[in-house]
Amino acid sequence: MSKGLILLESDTATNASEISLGASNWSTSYNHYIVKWANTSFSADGTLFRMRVLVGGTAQTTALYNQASAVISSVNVYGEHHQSFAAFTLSYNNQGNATGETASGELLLGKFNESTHYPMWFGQWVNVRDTGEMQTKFGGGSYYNAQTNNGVSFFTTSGTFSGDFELYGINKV
Amino acid sequence: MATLEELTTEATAEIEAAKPLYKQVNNERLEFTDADYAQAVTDLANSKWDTQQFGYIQARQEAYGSIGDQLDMQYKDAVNGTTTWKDHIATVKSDNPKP
Repeated sequence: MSKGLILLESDTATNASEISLGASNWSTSYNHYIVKWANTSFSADGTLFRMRVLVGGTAQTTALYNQASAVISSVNVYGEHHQSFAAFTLSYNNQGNATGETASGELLLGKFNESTHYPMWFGQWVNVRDTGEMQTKFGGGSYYNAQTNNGVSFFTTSGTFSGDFELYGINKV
Repeated sequence: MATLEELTTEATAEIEAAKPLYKQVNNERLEFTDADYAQAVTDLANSKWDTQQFGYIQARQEAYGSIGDQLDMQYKDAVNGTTTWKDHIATVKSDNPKP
């Protein structure tokens, strides 16, 4: 049996407003998963890039997302926290559509297959602003509802996005 | 200041203008369902509301500058008897007022 990261889904978003990873491609064989996105660019200026967990393939929209993140920017350091939001926010500043503005990141997902625990995730993600400012964000979040989950979805509050998305299961040794 | 209802109307018009919107599921490109469009309106309206109500916090955070720079201002104020830091904070607050 292979060990390490097992690719469950790979998808290239092209001018999409939402992308789901998992659902029918989800496998409950793993304790932990990694979701990553790279070279993501956006069509609208001033949009927010966000994530939600899936239950039965459907994105959960109830305001039960909690978040604690730190932002280390090339010009400053910030903290960010949200309690009981309707989604997990990946962008710190509004994401823009100027040349060079992109976002990439990865999150370790845990407790997604355990019906008595809250799904949680942590990781790091970066975005480059039109000013050239680099923002690295790290931290985590949870969805305050004990239920099994089978994936995540990414979306923007306006416009579309394009980029490469992958979901991996981490194989048990 | 706009109410959430007014922002929802604004968001509805923007989503209508942006149609069709697509989602990708299992590598398949699908147009949003009515429920997806309704959720997109809710998300956009809430985002506008958050920006209106709480955007000043982030704007101030950025405009204040780093803690190191602020401490440097305070040190120089203490040495020189100036009020640079206090003036800077007052300017940031007045430039980014609470709604």
